[in-house]
Amino acid sequence: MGEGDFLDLLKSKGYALAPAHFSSNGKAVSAEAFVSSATTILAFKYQGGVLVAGDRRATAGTTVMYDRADKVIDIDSHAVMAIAGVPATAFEIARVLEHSFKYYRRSQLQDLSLEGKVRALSKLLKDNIPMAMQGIGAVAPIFAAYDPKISSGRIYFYDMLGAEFESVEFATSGSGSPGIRGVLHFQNKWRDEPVSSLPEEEAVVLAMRLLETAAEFDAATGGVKQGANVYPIVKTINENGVREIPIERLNTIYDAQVAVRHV
Amino acid sequence: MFDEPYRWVDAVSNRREYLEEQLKSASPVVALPCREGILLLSVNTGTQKLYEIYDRIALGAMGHPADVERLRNVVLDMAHVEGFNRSPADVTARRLLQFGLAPVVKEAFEEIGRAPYIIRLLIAELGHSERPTLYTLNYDGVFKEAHQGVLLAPFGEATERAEAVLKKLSDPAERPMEAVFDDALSLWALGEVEAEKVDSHIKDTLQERSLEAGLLSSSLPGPSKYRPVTSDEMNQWTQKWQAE
Repeated sequence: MGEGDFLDLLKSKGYALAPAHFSSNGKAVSAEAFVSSATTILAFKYQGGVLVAGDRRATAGTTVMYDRADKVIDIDSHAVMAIAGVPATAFEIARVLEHSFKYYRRSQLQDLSLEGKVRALSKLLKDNIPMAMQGIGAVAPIFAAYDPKISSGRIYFYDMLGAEFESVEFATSGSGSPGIRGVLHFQNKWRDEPVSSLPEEEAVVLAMRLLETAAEFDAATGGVKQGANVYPIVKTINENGVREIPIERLNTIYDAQVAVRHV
Repeated sequence: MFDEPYRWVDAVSNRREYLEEQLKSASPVVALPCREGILLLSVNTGTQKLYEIYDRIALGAMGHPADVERLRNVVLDMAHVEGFNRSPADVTARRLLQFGLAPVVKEAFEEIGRAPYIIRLLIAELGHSERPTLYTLNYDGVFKEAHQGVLLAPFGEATERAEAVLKKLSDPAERPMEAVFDDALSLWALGEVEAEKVDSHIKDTLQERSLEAGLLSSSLPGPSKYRPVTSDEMNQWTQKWQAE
């Protein structure tokens, strides 16, 4: 009592994010057979703050499980977590994180610092190592938030063991990310201005084009399906908080600037 | 010592006297529905009296700060574990009171060997569809529901005066927050002084102590529907007392 640590409170009630021991009775675990995973998520700084986007597909092996997954999750009014990896674990981590920040703010009567939030996610990933090492619970998220201390957005990415890294301009994760990481690097380094100088409209166009590119080369990343009204989740973060770009606007932008121009 | 029934009843009666005496100097707390949701108001001398408990639930407290803190932690833990294990929609003021706070408070009150909680609490809940709900919890574990408004104050004349005013108020739920703020401040003062002294008491209070107010409002973005009322807002709304 009194320290504002929600995970400790949960543990005192018998909760465990990951079981300490997982037994497959000596048999090799075929993770692909039943684990839903793979994705493409990205975050980059633009003129108005930070943009975070993710595709909507969830797969298990070669099976498409779901095409409307929300992989960019609001954690609080000024922070989001984009998830790549096993959804069951990733959504659970997001839920613990969301409640942890709320619990801290309400019990300690002040907001948790951004450094504290970044570390909280790292600790959860470390707690999840047993599941990650057995191939059925790996998560490699991106965490993005507005930092009032420097009046700017910040982007952090993690490996599945909990190591945290702050990215200067952009971060990508998921099975489709290698295909777009280079594109972002190229765009940022050799176009007239860095990606961080893009206005919001152009930033959304870039994010949608990157996700369509990832979907082209990665079967586990879902592209836009206009007929079914399926678009990526695109959110922006700045001093006013987290805002989701509405589907209607994504639809307009897609028609005008993302739909196929050349085969 | 307390194994004979009449001694136990005597002891409980003595506790009641002791608690009433302790609470006499506590600053009242007011909650009134308004068009935006529920407005909570109190005056403090350094210790916070209004708290966010969960997404749609707030707490107002009078009494000993250490006891308030202990109970606040009980209800915070219960609300957040429940909201995590089930759903935020399952966290309701009634459940927190009936199964969380009230039994703890009653047990401490009736166990003569233990120190009772020196508290009187108010819990405000913004409903999902129906009207806002207000509850009060007394130091003996008794809780009551109200809709029109609540004043936590020392029992006796202050409560009677305030209840009479509450009944006469036009439905505050129809009026904007800044108008209801006026009523809330007057009600708070009525919890400390007689009706004819309300205005001068408010003027003195604004010079010597700190106003504290919070708002539960469905129109706030995101899941958390509580926000403290800013000092700029309060300065603006109390100008009529400050200017005179």
